[in-house]
Amino acid sequence: MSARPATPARRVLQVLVVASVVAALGVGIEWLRETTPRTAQDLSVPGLPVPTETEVVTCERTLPDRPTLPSGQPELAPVGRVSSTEVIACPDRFDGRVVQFAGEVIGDVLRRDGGAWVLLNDDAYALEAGPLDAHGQLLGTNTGLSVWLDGDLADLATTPGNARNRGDVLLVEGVLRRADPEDGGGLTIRAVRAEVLVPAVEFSQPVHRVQAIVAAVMALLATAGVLAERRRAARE
Amino acid sequence: MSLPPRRDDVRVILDAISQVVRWFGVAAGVTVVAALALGDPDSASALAIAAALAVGLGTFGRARWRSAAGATWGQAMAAAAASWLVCAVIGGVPLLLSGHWGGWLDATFEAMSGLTTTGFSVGHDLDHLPAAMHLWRTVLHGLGAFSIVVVVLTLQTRGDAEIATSNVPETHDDRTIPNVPQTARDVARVAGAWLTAGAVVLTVALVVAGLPPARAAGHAVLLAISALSTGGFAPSSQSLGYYHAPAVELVLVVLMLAGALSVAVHRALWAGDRRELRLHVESRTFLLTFGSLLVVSLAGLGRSGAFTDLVPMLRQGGLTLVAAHTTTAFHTGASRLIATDWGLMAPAALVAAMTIGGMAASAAGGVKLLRVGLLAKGVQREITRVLLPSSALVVQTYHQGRRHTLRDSHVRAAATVLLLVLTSALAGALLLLATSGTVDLTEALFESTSALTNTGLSVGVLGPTSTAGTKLVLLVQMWLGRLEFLAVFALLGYAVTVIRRPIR
Repeated sequence: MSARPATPARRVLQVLVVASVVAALGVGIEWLRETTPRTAQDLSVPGLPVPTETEVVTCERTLPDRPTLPSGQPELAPVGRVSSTEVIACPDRFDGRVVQFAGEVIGDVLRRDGGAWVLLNDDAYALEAGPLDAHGQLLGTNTGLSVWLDGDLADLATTPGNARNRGDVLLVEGVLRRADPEDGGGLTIRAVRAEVLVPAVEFSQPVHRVQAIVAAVMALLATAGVLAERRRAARE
Repeated sequence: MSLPPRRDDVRVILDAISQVVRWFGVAAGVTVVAALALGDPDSASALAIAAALAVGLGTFGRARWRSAAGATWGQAMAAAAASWLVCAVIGGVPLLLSGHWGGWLDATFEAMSGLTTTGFSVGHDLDHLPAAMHLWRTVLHGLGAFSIVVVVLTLQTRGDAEIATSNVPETHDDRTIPNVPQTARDVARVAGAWLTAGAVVLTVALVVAGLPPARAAGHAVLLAISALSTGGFAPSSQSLGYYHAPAVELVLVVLMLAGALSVAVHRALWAGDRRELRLHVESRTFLLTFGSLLVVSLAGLGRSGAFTDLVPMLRQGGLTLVAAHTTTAFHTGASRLIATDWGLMAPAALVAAMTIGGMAASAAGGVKLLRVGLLAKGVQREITRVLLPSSALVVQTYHQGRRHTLRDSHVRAAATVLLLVLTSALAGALLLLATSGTVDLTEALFESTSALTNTGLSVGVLGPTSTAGTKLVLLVQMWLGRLEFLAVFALLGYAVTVIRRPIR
């Protein structure tokens, strides 16, 4: 800091300079974000069965009467296609029932014990618009359910979704377990039938060249700054 | 009445911030190399921009405000608080550029959550996030945990505030900071050993669980850093529920507990001194609080009918309780189930566990076991005093490295922090009710406590589509909680004084 006393005008000028630099950085980074190149690609999933219910019923275990499905049928009465959101909002309603569930295989296919565990996501990125990097639309968080694919069913899941793929989209039918004893109490679906609705799709995202150039220039400037500062410190 | 700060005081603070920011830039630079190795040029350039920004700003700051004077405790605390804030903004840049965060507030929130080892997330479509960005989030956890332990160890013995995290309250000079590089090396050695062992064992467990070896190694590194730093970011939105593997959960429980141990206890264990772990006031307090809360939690889960068998109760309820007590955001599936399927007693036990937290001078947050233990000792002393004749001299002691006599100042300082945490959690909950509109008080209290204690478990109040107000409230709480109020108060004190009076 300079030994000169800061006059009010000088102080205002300093604040203005700092504010301008910060604003320029903020705007520049926002601009880089907005100019990320995307490949337009239709990643919607055709042929999905219509969901059984459209309204999500939330329950709490403390309520005296937890809501149950209206059918009143004995255990394992099929309830059609469900979403992970409605299952998580009130797992009791679906416990022990045969459900249909559609979702994208995410991450890995964990093969073991003659079958495989898969995470099937049924959020907007899985079933509607495709992974975020393919289109850039912000559509919320991920939701999904764990599914056990027994025996040959595991072979249907070949390519899981990740940053470069929209994974296989499966439609499974199976028994929903609110606290699956074979999974240490996890919320699972034990599939008895499964089919591939849409196979995995790889989407290519072009390299953001402008961002790479900006990064290179900034890295050079920072390196020059470090060298200059070291030289100055050595002189002092 | 406070004295206006001298020019040199401000200079020392700015110089300290500049140094921290520059080192932060170096860490981001290392992650650039990892991103390139992962074949992800966009993540690499995003990280390089943050690295260049941090190194550039840090270098400019050092050139302009370089100071030969040592920092006082107040200056060091103010610098720590400001550094966390500046690093959160810069750390959010790569996240913002990845396109998975909605704007500056969201990206800064996520980086603050990483640096404060909280584990809350407001990212969109994290299941399709590039691996390099998962790595960056985990690096933020690691940097935050490492830094807070070093900061606490160097600032732990300041006057009456010492009890916040003290190990050796009486022996420190009031003006000078202990040897930071030496402290950092000590912490790095302990953390490095745990991380290496943890990552190796986790890799094996993940391969057995069904992951291909290369993916298993990658997940193992991320999970090990996240657990040891008591953070909670995980490569999957389902957290530990993704793996369906008790062996993986067991290893992570050990790492979470290791992350919540104080450096002093680690040193004792390193030296083969198990007696210290047995006698230490914090380990005794942990056994008592964890044991009783586990009983409450299991009873709650059983009573509500959420789980009827012991194994599921322990794997779901027990693991989540360990995560809450060590202030780690790991969970065993959709965390929203805590609100919709676990009744009231088990979530209440989680809130209590989050509030207590881990040991002082550890990566964990919360009130800290030391303070809770000393408060309990204080209550015990008062009860004894009432029962004995008025002429009796009642002396209460506690073990922390050696035997200490419990002083009124210890109890007072611990009670002050507890009061601050409780009132801030309540105030935060009320603000969440005002800003989010759709949550009830119990959910707001859970989320508020989780943020303030840097736990990161969420029952669904927070998400990418939450209001800006909700995110802002939780961001401030994470910051306050990580720096245990005092550092933020010191920074605000300096700021207010500078605004009200000119620098001398």
